[in-house]
Amino acid sequence: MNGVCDLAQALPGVQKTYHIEVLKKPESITRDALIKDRVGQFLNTQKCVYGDFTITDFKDDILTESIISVSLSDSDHLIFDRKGVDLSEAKLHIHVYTLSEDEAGTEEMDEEQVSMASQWILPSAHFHGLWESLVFDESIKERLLNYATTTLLFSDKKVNSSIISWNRVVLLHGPPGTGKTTLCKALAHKLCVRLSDRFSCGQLVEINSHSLFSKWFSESGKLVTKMFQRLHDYMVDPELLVCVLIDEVESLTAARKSCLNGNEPSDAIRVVNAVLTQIDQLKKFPNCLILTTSNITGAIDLAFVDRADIKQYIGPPSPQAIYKIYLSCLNELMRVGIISPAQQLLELRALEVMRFVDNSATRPSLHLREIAIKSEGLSGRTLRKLPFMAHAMFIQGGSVTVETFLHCLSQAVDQQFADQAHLTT
Amino acid sequence: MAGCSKQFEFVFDGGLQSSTRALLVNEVIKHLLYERNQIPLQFDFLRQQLALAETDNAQQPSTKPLSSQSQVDRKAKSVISNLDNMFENIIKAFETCPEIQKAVVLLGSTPATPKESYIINLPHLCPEADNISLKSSKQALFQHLVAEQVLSSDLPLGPTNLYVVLCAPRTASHLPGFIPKASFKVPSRGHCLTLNMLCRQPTFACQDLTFEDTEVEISGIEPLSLECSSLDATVAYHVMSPSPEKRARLQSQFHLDKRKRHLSNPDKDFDLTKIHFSTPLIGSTPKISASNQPLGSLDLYNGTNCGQSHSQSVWFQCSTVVKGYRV
Repeated sequence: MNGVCDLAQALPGVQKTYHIEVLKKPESITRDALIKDRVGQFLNTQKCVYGDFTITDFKDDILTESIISVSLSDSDHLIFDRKGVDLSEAKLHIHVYTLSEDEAGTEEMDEEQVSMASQWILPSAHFHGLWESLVFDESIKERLLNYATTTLLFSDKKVNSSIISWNRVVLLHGPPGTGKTTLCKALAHKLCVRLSDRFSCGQLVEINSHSLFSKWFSESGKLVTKMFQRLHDYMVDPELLVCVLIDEVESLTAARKSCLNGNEPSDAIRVVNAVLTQIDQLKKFPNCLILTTSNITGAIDLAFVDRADIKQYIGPPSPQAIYKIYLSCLNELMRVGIISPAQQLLELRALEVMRFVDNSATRPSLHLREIAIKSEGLSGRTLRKLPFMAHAMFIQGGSVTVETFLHCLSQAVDQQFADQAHLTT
Repeated sequence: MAGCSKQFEFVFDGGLQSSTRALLVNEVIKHLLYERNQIPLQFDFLRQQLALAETDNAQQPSTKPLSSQSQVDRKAKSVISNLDNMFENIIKAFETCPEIQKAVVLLGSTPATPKESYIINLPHLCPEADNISLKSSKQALFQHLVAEQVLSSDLPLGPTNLYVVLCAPRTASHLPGFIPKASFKVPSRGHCLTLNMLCRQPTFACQDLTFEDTEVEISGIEPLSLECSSLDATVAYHVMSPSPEKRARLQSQFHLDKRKRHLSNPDKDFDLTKIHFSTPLIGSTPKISASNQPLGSLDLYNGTNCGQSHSQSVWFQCSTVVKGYRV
C-alpha cells in the first residue's frame, strides 16, 4: 500500500499536491536530495503565493551554484479564488530535472536510408516552456496529466488488464493549428519532469508515418513491424519512459473500409493491420505512452479510434484563451524592448474584478480584450503569428508604444480575416 | 534487438599515463568509426584525403567539383572537425581527471537507446609504475584489435550518432567539454562489447607500507608483547572509534608489529585475523586488503560499475556528437 501512496504523491493530480519544478544547471553535479532539501527550506521562507511563479534569485549559495530556477505551474486548478497558499504549510512535491541539450536523433532502418523516426531525450531543452505556452479553455492539460497518472498507477499496481483494459493511446483531434502536436510534445516533456523520481529519463519518439511506406509491394507492413520492434527494445528498460508520437495518424490508420472501395492497394490495409496489432503488443509495457494527432477523424479506422483511451477534441481558442495568448506575446515584446515603455497589462480575471471599468490603467488591457473578442475563430498558430505580422505589415520600425502596437494588431486581425475570406471564395 | 555482449582483454606491459589513456580511447574511437561503417576511410587517411582535395581545389579553382562530391566533402569536413573537437575534449578530460575509470562509446540515435555500446575499462592509476610509451601501447592495442577483429561485426549499421561518456569520480566536479549525466547508465540493450585494459603493474604497491619482504627496524620503539599490542588496538578501536584513515594507519601499525614479533619471537605464529575489530576493516580500507596480491601481479579490473558505485562516480557525456556518413 505504501508503494501506491508514494506513487500517488509522485504523480501529478492524484492528491492536492503542489508540484515544484527545479531546473538544475547542466554542469551541476550536486545531489538531487540536497537540492530538494535546500529548495524546501527556501520555499518555507517564502510568503503566500497566488499563482504560478518562477524564482531565479536565491539567497543560498548551493542553490545559486546548482540550479537555474524554481517554478510552480498549473496552479490555476489548485489555487481557487486567488486566496493564496502558504508554501510553508502546503504539501510540496519537488522535482529536480536537467534539460538535455542534445539535438534530435534519427532512427533509420538499416537497409532503407530513410529516417523512420526522430528522437529526443527528455526533458529536452527543445520543449522547455512549451507546456506553459499552451492555453486551453478546458483543463485539458490537467486531464492528460491525470490520465498518464492513472495509467502508471494501474501498471505499477499490476491491475489485471484482462479485467480492466487500458491501451495507453491518446488521440488528439481537431482543426489545424490548435496545438495538438505541441501539446503531445509538451506532455511528454512534462511527464518526464514530474516523474523524474520514477523514471531516470525519458525519450520521445516521433514516427515519420510517410517513411513507413515502402516502394516495394507488401513491404510496408513489415516496415511498420520493424519500427515497433525497435520501440519494444527501448521499452525493455523499465527506467526509461517512452512516449511515442504519431502525428497525422490517419496516414497510418486510414479507414480500411474506404481503402477497399477506392484505388488504395491492399498494402495500405496491411499497414493498418500491422499498426493495430503492434499497438496491442505495446500494452504490456508499463513505461509506454502513445500520443497521436489527427485533423481528419473521419478518415481514421474505427478499430484505432476504439483503442484510444482518450479522444480529446482540441478546438480553436475562446476569447479568454486568446486574451491569454496575446498577453504572453505582448509581454515577450516588452521584455525584448520592441514595445517600449513596458506597461503593465492586466489579466482578464483582474479586469473582471474591476468590472471592466475604463481608466488609464485598464485602457490598454480593455483594448486587448476587444481584439481578443474580434479574433475568435482564429487558430492558436495564427494567433501566435499575428503580433509578428502586425509588426511586419504595419510598424516596420524600432520600438513602439503599447497603444500603437495594439492598434496595429487590430489591423492585422482584420487583414487575417480578409485573407481567409479571399481563400474560401 | 536482443542484448549481446562480449569481452576482450588487452594487457599492457606496464602502466599507462593519463595522456596515453586518453589517446588510446581516441584511437579506439577512430578505429571503431571505420569498422562500423560510420566513415568511409580510416580517420587519418580521410583527413589526409580531405587535405589533398582542398589543396587541389586551391590550386585549380576553375575546376568545379561535382555537387555530390562537394556534399561528401562537406560531410567529411564536419565529421573530422567534430571528431577533432571530441578528441581534444577527451584529452583535456583525462588531464583534468586522470582517475577516469571507464569510457563508453555509444552508437545510436540517442545515448539512452544505443544500438551498439563499447565499454572501455581503464586500469587503475599507479604513478610509480613503469609507464610504457604511447607508441608501444598503441602497437599492443592494435595488434589485438586488428588480429582478433575485435571491433568488426556482421551486424548491419547505417550512419548514426556517436556519443562518448566518461565515468569519473564525483570529486571531478568539472570536465571541460563534458556535461554531467546523472541519469545515464550503461545500456543493457543492443550489441555490447567490453574492452578491459589491464596493466602489468604493482597493484597499489606504491601506497602500501605493509607489504615489504625485508624486515623493518624502527629505532626508539621497544617491542611490545602481542597480547598487549592487540589489547591496546582493540581498546583504541572501541573507545576512540577512529576514522577510516586512522584505522588504516592502525592496521599498518599491526603489520609493523607483526614484523617485530617475528624479529623478537620468530617462532610465535601471529594471526591478524584472530584480532577482533569492532568495525570491519576490510570494507573500509580496501587498499590494504588489495595489497595481499603479489608484487607485479596483473592489475585486473575489478568490474566496479559506475552505476553501482553511483555515489562515488558520475557519468559525463561529451557535448560533441559525431554523426556518421556514407558515400
